[in-house]
Amino acid sequence: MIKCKSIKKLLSDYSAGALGAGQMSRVEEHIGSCEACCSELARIEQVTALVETLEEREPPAGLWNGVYNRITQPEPKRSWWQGGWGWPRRLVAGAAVAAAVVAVAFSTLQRPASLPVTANSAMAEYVQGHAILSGQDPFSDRVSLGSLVWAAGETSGNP
Amino acid sequence: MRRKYILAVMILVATGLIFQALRFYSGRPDASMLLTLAAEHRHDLCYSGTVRTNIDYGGRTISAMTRVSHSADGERIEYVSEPLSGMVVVTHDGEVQTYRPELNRTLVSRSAAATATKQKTALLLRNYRARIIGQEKIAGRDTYAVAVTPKRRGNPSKTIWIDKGTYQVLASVDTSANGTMRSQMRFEQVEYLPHLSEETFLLPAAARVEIEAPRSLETLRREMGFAVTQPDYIPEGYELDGYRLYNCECDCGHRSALIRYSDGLNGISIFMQPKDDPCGSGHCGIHEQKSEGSCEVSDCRQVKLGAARVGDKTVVVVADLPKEEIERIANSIK
Repeated sequence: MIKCKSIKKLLSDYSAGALGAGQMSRVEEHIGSCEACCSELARIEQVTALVETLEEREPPAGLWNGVYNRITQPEPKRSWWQGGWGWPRRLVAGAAVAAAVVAVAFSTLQRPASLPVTANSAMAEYVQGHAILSGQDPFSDRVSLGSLVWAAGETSGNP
Repeated sequence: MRRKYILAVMILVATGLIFQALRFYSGRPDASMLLTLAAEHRHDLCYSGTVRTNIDYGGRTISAMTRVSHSADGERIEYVSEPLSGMVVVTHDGEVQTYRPELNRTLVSRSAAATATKQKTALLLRNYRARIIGQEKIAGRDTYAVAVTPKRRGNPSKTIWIDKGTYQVLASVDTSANGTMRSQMRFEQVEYLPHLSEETFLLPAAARVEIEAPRSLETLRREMGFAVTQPDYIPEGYELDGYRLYNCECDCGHRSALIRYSDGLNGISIFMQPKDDPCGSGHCGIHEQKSEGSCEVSDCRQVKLGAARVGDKTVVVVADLPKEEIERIANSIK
């Protein structure tokens, strides 16, 4: 098994005739007795033959210049924050997520469920009475309280 | 070391005194003093003007235009725009009369005494912070804008615009305990007059319904026929404002005991009536049977109402307070 693994790595170079004499004889000795590696070599040689039937194509003009420019361009200076997903960015992102979770949990816990807003006849009498008496307070808005007395009376369906 | 400490304290005190002196001599008044002056001078002013108001009731905005006349003898608020047109509220001779033209009825209640105004203002300043937040021209008059905010959470707040010369309140915005705008009013025009005629305080002839009357606790218990008791729990800062007998507006004879508390700006009204005793006209009262101990709270945007059955009576707590406070008050009544 171990030998097959190490021989398989050499098969491509063997097919291309790129191995030294010692390695070549090792490969030949092994494939003579190993059906799996022999089949693998046959597949490699098939692919090589197929590739050789393809036409040679000229690369587009400027391809090499583009590659050359990218290779030779100086690397931009990166701040500590831009240094990939290094620890500063991870730390800040983690803190932001934790803060958001705490804020949502806090606001959910703190805010009681709000009641639906309604005005009906059952409450009218009490709202009117409360409004009339509230007018006695020194800074009460007596003008608005009058509107409230009227509004509550309207919903009560006065006889 | 000790000498340095004493010197530091003296410098701090001196700095504070210099700051106060600068503020005083710069002409900018103290907000609490402004409120006190506004409350004190209210009864002395004589003016006529137009006021616009908006309130939010049950999610519906109700706007009204009014003509307001005020003197040491009383006040007249006449609603001149639909749908409130024709309604008049007159405060005169110790009474507040609310004339409802569509019902051909005048609801009558008591007005506050001048001494009560002074006590309530002092109570307000104990429970609320006042600070000047700006200056604005309202109805052609220079005013200070004073923000009145509660010292304890869960209470409403108010912004008042006070005339610099006359200390009259020319505009106000009431904000409920949960932060929503409850009502606002603003003078659009104001004219100061030497006096108002007696005709100002006259109302059209209509059936008078005495809607509330002050009572002692013992009298109230006797008249209601059940134990009228104060709740064991009232939020901090609120003081008893009196007991009253409250009569149904439709004059059907249905009555409630009413206990009122105030913190100077906000009020709590607690109505109590015998259980299974709704208004015969179906106009008021708790129509549905409520199980013992459960408190149902509803919100009309102006106030919250908590209704509960407690022993031999039905209790309704009305206040601009958080739902939990309403429930706690209702559930503390024996």
